[in-house]
This record gives sequence, C-alpha cells and structure tokens, in this order.
Amino acid sequence: MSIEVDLSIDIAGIKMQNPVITASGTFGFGLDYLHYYDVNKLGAVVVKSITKNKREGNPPPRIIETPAGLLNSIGLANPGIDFFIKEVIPQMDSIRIPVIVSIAGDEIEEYVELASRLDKQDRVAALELNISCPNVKKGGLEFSTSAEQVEKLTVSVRKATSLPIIVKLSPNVTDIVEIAQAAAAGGAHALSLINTVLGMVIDVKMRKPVLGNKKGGLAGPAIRPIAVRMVWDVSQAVDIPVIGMGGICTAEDALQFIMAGASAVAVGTWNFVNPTAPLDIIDGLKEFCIKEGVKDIKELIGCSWK
Amino acid sequence: MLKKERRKMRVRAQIVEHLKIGRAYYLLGLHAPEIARTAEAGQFINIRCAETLDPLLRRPFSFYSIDRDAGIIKILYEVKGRGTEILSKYKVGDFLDIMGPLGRGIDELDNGGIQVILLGGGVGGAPMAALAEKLHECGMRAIRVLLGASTMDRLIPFDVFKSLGIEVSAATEDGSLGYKGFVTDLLKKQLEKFERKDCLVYACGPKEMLKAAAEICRNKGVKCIVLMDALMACGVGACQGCALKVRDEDGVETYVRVCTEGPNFDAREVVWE
Repeated sequence: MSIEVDLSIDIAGIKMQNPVITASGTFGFGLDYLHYYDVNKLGAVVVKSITKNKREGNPPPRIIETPAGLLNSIGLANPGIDFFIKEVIPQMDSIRIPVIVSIAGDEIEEYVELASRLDKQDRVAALELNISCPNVKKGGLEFSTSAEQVEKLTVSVRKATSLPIIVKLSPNVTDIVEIAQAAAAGGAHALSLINTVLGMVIDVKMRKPVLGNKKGGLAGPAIRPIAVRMVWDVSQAVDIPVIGMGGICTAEDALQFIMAGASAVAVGTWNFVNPTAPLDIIDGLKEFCIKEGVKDIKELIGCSWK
Repeated sequence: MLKKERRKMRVRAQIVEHLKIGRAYYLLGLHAPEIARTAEAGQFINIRCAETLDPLLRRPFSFYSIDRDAGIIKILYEVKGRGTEILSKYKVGDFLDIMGPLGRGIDELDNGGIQVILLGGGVGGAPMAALAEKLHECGMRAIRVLLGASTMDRLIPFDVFKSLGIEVSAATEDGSLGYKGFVTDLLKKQLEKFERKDCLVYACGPKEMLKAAAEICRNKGVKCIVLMDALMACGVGACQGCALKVRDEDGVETYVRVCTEGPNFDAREVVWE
C-alpha cells in the first residue's frame, strides 16, 4: 500500500492538499466543527457569507426537511465585516489550510468595499462572490440571473483586490452556461456551483408556506443530479476551474462531480448529518485512485466528457 | 468563542434501555460515557435516527437523566414524525450515532435558599427530570414539580421526582389525573404562596404554555427560565437554522441560535410571537 496518490490541486493560486472543501453557510466560520475533528486535513474551508453590515437574517422557521433534502431561508445572517475582521479572523489561528471568504451584498459597491477590506487580510486566501443567495430580497437573484450584471460585478471586484475570485453560481437561471461565461469574461479565477435550488413547502393544516420567508433554497442529496449536470455543462464551456457542490455525501458523489469536470468539491448540508464526512471523502478518493491505478486525481477531472 | 478542549463528541452509543412509557412516550438509555462525563441538565444530544438519506437530518433530544458514574444518558421522547418513528424501532444492544453534549447547560443554580418550581408540559417535562437530579445533587431541597398534559397518558413518569423526595402536582386538560385544566393555572396558584425574590421557575413544553408561564412570572416579578424547542439542522451553531427572536435590555431585537445560545433563555428576553 505504498502507492502515492497525488490529491493536491491548485485553483487560481489557492494551493490545496486535496480537493475537498466545505461549502459556505454549512460550516460557520470553520470554528464550530473544531470540536469534532482536525479541520486542517481538508483542502480548504469556505466561511459563511459576510456582508457589509450585520444581518439578522430571516424570521423563523428557517429550515424544513424535505425528501433527502433541506429547504432553508437563513437570509445571510452574519455579524458583518467589522466584527469578522476584528473578532473572527484572530480566532482562525488554528486553521492552517486556505480560508476562502464568501461575500455578499445588495449592490456592486458593497462587494467592492468588502473585497478591498479583505484584500489586506493575510488569513484570507480567496474570495467567493455569493451572487446567488435566493433568500435576500434585493440583489441576490438580480445579480445571479443577469449575465451583464455578473460580468460587471466581477470586473469591479477584480479591480478592488488581488485575491483570487470565485464566483458562485445559481441554478435558478435559464442558462447557467451563459452566466458562467459572463463571470469568466469578467475575470473570475474560478466558479463554484451550484447554490441552492429555489423551493417551497406548504403546511396544509395551516394552509400557508412553512418557512417564515415562504420560499427557500433546497440543498442536500435531492439536488445532486441537477448539480452534476450543471458542472458538466459549465466546466466544458469555460477555461477556468470549477468547484462542484450539491448534495455530496460520499467519495462516490465527489467523484461524480470531478468526472463531470470539477477540479474540487465542496460538502455542504451533509456536514450537519455527518461532520466528519469530508475526511471520509478524502480517504475514499485516495482509495479509489489506488484501486483504479490513478496516480494523480487531476487525471479524473472531466474524464466523463468523452 | 473558541474552546480548545474538545468537549463535544460524536460517538456510536449502545442502547442499554428502550421502553415504551404509557401510551405516548419512549425512554431511551444510551451507554455514552464520553458524553455523560461533561453533560449538564438542559443540554441535548443530536441523534441520527436513520442510516438512509430520508429522513435526512439528526433529531435533537434533551437529557432526561445523566449518570456520570455508569456513563449512561437517557432521553424521553414522543413519536412525532418519521425520525422518532424510526428511532422507536431500535432495540437494546443496537448502536446509535449521536452528537453531544450540545447547547448550554443550566447554570443558574447558585442562589441559595430559593424555592424552585419545575414546570413541564407534555414531553417537555423530560429535561425537568435531569434538572431535578442536578438541583438535588447541589443540595437544593425546596423544589416543586408541576407537570401538565392533555390527558394522563401524556404525563411523564413521576418516579424520578418521587425518588428524590420531590412533590409533584399534575394537571390534565381532561381532568383524568390531578387538577383539571392547564398546568399554568397550577403555576399561578403556586406563585401566590411565595415571595417573588425567593422563587425561580424553569419551564419546558409547548410554546403556548411557555408564553403563558412567562407572562404569569413577569406579572409576579418572578424569574423564569424557558427551555426552547426549534427545528434544527446542525445543532452545533453552524447553520443558523434554529433562530429565536430575543430582546435585550435596551429593547433591541436580534436572533439567537437555540442550539448554541440556548436552549435555555430568560423568559423576559424571548420575543413571543
């Protein structure tokens, strides 16, 4: 068993020891799970979206379980950029892997301000632009559904920072490839997809939607085939790397995304059920490569296109 | 915020006891010494009830009893949906994937010489058993337990309280046992007997009951700690799913996480909607 498998990946200068990361919004600031395992074994962590000002988030109920899924309308609840820089970043000393910070806003100016402030933070390895949170009234969907807006936003943020920029795409669009190409044209270094799929659950006894915000974003294994298909389409249409996510629970799930064209994968909702799943996935990827005689996992990226 | 010691655990715990209690509840005992060691009354565990993807999420249950020496924790639960339905089928000797202890334990016990009232509605009485054990362990003897339910089948067992020598009063809506009416009526009567500064109420149960208890206590100037229930996804503070609206001293309203800042809150802080 002395076969060496190379799991490392470099995405836009973000050097990861393996391609398994955590999805934004499912891992807090990376601190909540330090009690459960050595987070430093992951490829990278993506922390929950930060906005300029503190956001309280949406009224409860914010979550409801669905068949093999989780519908949520958290509404970007976060303490704001000042608190994040002053209080959270200093606590990240024990995290030695790349920290990717997700940022969100209502206007381009807000993203620009967040990017320029985080640009000065050594602890931050890259920015993920959350343009597709379905749970905020303003901005969110407007950005994510307009190719022109996505390009404009990406160009503006690029000017504000030298950090690598990952644009997170929404599945709630007519043609995700068009949006992906716009982000790439705007200078995005990588793309991550997919964000949650808009959905709703109705309480028939109360005769009204369950969630306080009525609509929510569906995540979890239920959306996995949608995500795999979108990664397959997008990764063939752009020249920048793609980080795939959507219902990943096992190494086999992760391999589906990699073979569909993802250079890295993110575990989201499944963290809630099995917090150590990312570690199991890393082991599983290695095992698969050994069994299949694959020396470098990069050989598998997009191998199903043929 | 960040604690270096890993006090939260995820373990495979063996079932040592699983009994149906009355018509509605189940008592589940788990051998989990790592969790029992640091568990406190008022905290909870998150159980993975199904190995499949549906139902997807874990289910939170507060401690009914904590035996550090034996390394055994117990929960008392009601079959309410598919998760608890599946859970009820497990047998003694089976293993369950559990996370805990989660949330804040109840630590406001230091006021000596006070009268404590433990108020439980339905299966919400479960954490009161663990709390009664803890209070008793701390040497507190002035404890009264008030339990309510729709009918006597839905009252939690009295034995834990009785074995500690604690008096239990019951209320049922149909009058099948004890006082006929709401348990909050018993609370109101009880509070009339005490000086407000000498009394502390802990309550857990349906939201309407908690809201009523909070109002009764506020009117009497009595401090009331409520244990809140919420739909949870992660149970560890990451997802922000279990939001509860609270109001601080300055009247500013914010959301907090039931799983992390709670599950116990001063009833005066909770915004009852």
